[in-house]
Amino acid sequence: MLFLEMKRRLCSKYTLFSVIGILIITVGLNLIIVEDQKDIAVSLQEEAVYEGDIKEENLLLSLKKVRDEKSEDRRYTSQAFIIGGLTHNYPGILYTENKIEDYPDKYAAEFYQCWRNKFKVLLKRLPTKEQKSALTKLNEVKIPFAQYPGYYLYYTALENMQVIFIIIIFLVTFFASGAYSDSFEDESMEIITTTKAYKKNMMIRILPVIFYGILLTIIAVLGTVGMISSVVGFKALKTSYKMISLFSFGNLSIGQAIMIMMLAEIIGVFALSTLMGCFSFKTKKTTTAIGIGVSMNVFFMIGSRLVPSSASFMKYLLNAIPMASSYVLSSMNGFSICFGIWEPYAIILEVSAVSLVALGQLLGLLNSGTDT
Amino acid sequence: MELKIDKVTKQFKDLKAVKDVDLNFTPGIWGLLGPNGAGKTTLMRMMVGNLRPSRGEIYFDGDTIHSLGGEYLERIGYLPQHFGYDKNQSVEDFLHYIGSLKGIDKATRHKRIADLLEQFNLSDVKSKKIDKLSGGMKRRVGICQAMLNNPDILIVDEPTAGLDIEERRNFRQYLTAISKDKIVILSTHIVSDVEFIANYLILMEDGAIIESGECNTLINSIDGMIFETVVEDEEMKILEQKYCIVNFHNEGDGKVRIRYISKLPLKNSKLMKPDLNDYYLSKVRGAK
Amino acid sequence: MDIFISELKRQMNVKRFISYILISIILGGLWAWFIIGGRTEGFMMTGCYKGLKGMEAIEAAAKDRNVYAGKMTTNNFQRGSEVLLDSAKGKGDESEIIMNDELLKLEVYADTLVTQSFRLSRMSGESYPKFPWFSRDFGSHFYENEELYYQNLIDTSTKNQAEKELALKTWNKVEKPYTYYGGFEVWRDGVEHIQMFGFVLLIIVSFFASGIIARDKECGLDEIISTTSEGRRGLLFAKLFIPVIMGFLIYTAGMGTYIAILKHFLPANALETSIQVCCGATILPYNLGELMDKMVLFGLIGTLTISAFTTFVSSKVNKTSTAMSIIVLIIISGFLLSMGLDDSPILKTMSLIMPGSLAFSGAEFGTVQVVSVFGKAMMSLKFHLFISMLIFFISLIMISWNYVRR
Repeated sequence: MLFLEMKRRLCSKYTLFSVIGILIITVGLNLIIVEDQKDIAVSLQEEAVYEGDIKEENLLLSLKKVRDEKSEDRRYTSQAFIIGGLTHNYPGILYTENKIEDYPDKYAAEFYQCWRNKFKVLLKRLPTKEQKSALTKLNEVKIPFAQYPGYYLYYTALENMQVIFIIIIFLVTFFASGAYSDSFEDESMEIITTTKAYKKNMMIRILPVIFYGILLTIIAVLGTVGMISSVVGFKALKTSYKMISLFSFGNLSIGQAIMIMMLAEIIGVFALSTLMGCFSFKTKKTTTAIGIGVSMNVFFMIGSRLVPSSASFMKYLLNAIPMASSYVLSSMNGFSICFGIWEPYAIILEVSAVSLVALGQLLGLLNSGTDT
Repeated sequence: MELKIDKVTKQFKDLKAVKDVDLNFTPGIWGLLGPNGAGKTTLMRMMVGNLRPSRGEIYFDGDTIHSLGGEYLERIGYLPQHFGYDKNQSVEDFLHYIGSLKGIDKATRHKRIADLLEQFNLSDVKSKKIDKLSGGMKRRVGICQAMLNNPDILIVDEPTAGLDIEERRNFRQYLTAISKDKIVILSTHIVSDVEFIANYLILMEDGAIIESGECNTLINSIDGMIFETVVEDEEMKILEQKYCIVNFHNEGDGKVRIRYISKLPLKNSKLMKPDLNDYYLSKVRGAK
Repeated sequence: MDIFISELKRQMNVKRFISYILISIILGGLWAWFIIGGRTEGFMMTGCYKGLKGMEAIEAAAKDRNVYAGKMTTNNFQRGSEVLLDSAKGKGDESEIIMNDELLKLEVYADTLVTQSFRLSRMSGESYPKFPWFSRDFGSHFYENEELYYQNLIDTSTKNQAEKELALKTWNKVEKPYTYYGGFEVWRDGVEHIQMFGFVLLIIVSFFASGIIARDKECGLDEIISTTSEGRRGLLFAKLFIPVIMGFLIYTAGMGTYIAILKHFLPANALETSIQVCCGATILPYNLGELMDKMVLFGLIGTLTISAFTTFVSSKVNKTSTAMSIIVLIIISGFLLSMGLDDSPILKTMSLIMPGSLAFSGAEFGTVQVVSVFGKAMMSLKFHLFISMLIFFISLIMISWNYVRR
C-alpha cells in the first residue's frame, strides 16, 4: 500500500517539475558563485600553505607581510582576511580600524583573545537574563579554529541554500495541502472510508509528502556541496564555521553546519507535512489549505524581519512555525539564546515539538473519522 | 432546419475517438446510444463547437458551424455530461448568469427564467444554492440553462446519469414537452431513457456509427427474431456462445428463462415482440 | 455590460467581497498599530524618553526635536556638533553622553553628523570614528562633506559616463539645506513597511485572482460558457478586469487604512523631511511624503501587475490550487530577490522581471540606483516601472489570446 501511495503522489508532473526546478535553481545559483572563481586554482594552492588550525604566529607573520611589506601573496592575504573579521563583523564595536595598515600586531598575535573580548562586548547586547548562558556557551567554544582553502565560497553558497530551503518549504506546503482534501474534492474519500485499510491509508498519506520534501532538500544540499566541492574540494567542509560567522557559538565545521541546516529542514518538512495534513483533512479544500499554509509561512517571513531578537514571546512563537527551520542559517550566524540554548538548536527543538503535536493532532483527526 | 455531420473524425494523439461519422439531424428526438467510451461525448462536444474535428465538417443549414460562430451558438442549448456550476450561486443567479452569456436581455431573461423554473418545478428552490439541491434538481437546473435561449437544437449528454427512476421518468417528460420543432439530441448508455421518447436512434460503438434511423423501423428490423425459452442451467455456457442472449431469469430447480435473438429458435421457444434493448444488444454484440 | 455585471456579482459575492476587503482593512489597522503602538524613542543609548511608548514617546520626542525643525541650516549643524561634544563625559571607549535639554532639541543634527562622520570614514577607508567622532567645527562643513560623500558615492556606483551624468543631475535636484520635522522617524518606519505590507496584500490578491478562470474549468462551468453565443469572448472583459479591480480595491482598502491611520496619528509636517536625513544615503530629490506616495503607487502597480499575471496563469492551468501555487512561488521569489539575495547582475535582472516585484522596489530608492539599457542611462526605478507595465499589458494580451482561442 505504501508503495502504491508513493507512486500515486510522487509519479506526477508536480513532483517532476519541482525536482527539476530545485535542481535548476541550485545549479544556477551555484554556477554564479563558481563562475566568478575561474582562476581559483592558483589561489587554492597558495592558501593551502596555512591550511588546518589557525595559528596566531602565522597570523602575525601574514599581517606583517601584508601590512608592512605590502605583500599580495594569497597565502598571506588569506590570513590577513581572517584578522579583518575582528573589525568587519559588527563594525565600530571595540575594534574600529577599517584598513589593514592600521591593524596593531595584537589583532594577530592575540587573535583568539581579541575575538573573545569583542564577543564578550557583543554578548552585553543580549537581554540580561540570557547573558549568563551566553557566556557559558562562549567558554565552550574550542580554539584554535581551522580553515581550508576555498571555504569562503560557502558564504554565498549557504545563503543560497537557505533561499532554496525557503522555496522547498513552500513547495511542500502546496504538495501537502492536497494530501487529504484532494480525495474529499474528487469524492474518492467516500470509497476509501469504506475500505478495511482506511486508517492505514490515511496515516501513510503524509509519508510521500515527507519523502518529497526530503528528496528536494537532499538535491539542494548535494547540488550545492557537489558544485562547490568540484572547485575547492571537500576539505573546505572541515573549515570551522567561525570562518563564516566569527561571532557564533558552537564548535561546528562548515560540513556540520550544513548537516544541521539539512536536519532542521527535514524536521521542518516533517512538521509542515503533518500540520498541513491536519489543515487538509479539516478544511477538505485544497485551496483553503494552501491559503492557511501560505499565510503561516508569510507570517513567519514578515514576523522574523519585524520582531527584534530580544522580544521573547513573539520570538518563541515564530520559532515554532515550521518555516523557521529554513532560517536556521540566520540564527547560526548569531548568538541569540532561547530557553537557555543557542537559537538554531532551540528552533530545531521547537519545530520538533510542533511536529509531534501536529502528528498527534492528525492521528486524532484520522481516528475520529470523516464526515464527508 | 438541418444539422449535418459530414465525415467527421476526431483523433486524440493515438486514439481515434470518432471515426468518419456521417449524420443528418432533422427536428425530433434523437437518441445517441452506445456503451461507455463509444465516442458519444466527443461527438457532442464537436457538435457544440467545444472540440474541432480533426477531419470533416459540421454544417447547420448549409453553413459550417465554425463559420456561423455566435449565430449557431444562439440556436443551441447544451447540457454537458458533468454539469458545471458555481457552488456559491443560487439557482436564479446561475440562470441569470448563463442568460447574460447567451445574450438575452434582462427583461426577457426574467420572464424566461420564471417560466422555466415553473415548468421544471424549481420555483420553490430558486434562491437555494445549486450545490444544496438533489441530483435530480441539479439536472433540471442544467436543462433550464440549456433551454434559456429557447434553442432550436438541444444537445444533452447523459442527462439521467445518477438519477432515480422517478426523476428519470420526469426528465423524459420534460424533454418530450420541449422537443416540438426542435432537434433534441440525447446521448445515453441507458436504453430505457430513449426507448419511449426518441423518434430516431443512432447506435455508436468504438467511435463509429453502427446503425441509425427511425426508432420503430430499427426495432422492427429484428421482428420475428426474439424468442424466450426455459433451459437447464448447465446448458447456458454453450448457448451463450451460440446465441445472442439479451436477458435471463433464474427460475429455480436448475432452470433459467432466457430471451435471445436468433433466426432459428430453440425448441419450445416462444416468439416475443422486440424492444429497443433487444435491438441495442443485438447490434452492439453483433458489431463485436 | 450585462455580462460584466453578472460575472462581477458571481466573483465578488457579498461574503467573498467583504472577507477579502475586511481582511485587508484589519491587516492595515494592525500594521499601523504595530508601527505606532510599539514605537519607542531614544538617542545614542542615553535612555532619554525611557518608559514612554507609542504616541506618548512620539509626541514627547517630536516636541523636543521641533525646536530646531525646518530648514537644517549650517549654523544649526554647527551648534549641534558643539552641543554633542560638550555633552560627552569620559574618554575613549569609556565615554558616555550626558543628555541635556539642548541636546534633546538638537538630536537630529547630532545624529546626522555622527552618521556623516561614519560614512566619510568608510568612504576614505579610515578607521571607524571613535569618540569624539569629529572635530568641533565639523557641523559648519556639513553640506561640503555631503557633496564630497555623494560625489564619491556616484563615482563608485556608476559604470559609465551616462550613468554618472544622470546620477549627478538627480543629486543636484536635491533641495539643500535639508528639511526635517519631528516625528519623521516613525513615519520612516511606516514608509519602510509599505513594501512588507504590500507583499502580504499581493498574496491576498493572488488568492482571489488565481481562481478567476481556472475555477470555471475545474467545476465544468467553462464547458457551458463556451457553448453560449457570447461565451468566453463576451466574458473576456470581465475576466481581464475583475481581478484588476479587486486587486485595486484590496490594495486601496488595506494600504489606505494603513496610511490613513498613520496620517491621523502622526505629525503631518514630518512628511516634508528630506529623505537624505531619514532614509540613508540616496540621490533622489524627494521628501518623505513624496517617497511614501511613490512607494504606495509602485505597490499598487505591482498589485495590478500580479492581478493580471495571476489571471494569465489561471487561464493556462486547470486547477485553482495550481495557479495559487505558481503565483505564490513567483511572489516569494520576487520578494526574496528584492530583499537582497546577492549582488549578482543575473539575480538583479531576475528580480526586475519578476511579476509584482515593483511592490518590493524600496531598495531602489536608496544610494545610487542607475542602470544602462541599450547604452542609455536611466533610473533603476523607472526601468522597473516600465518592465512592470510591460508585464501587465503582455499578461492582458496573453489572457485574451488564451481565453478566447477555442
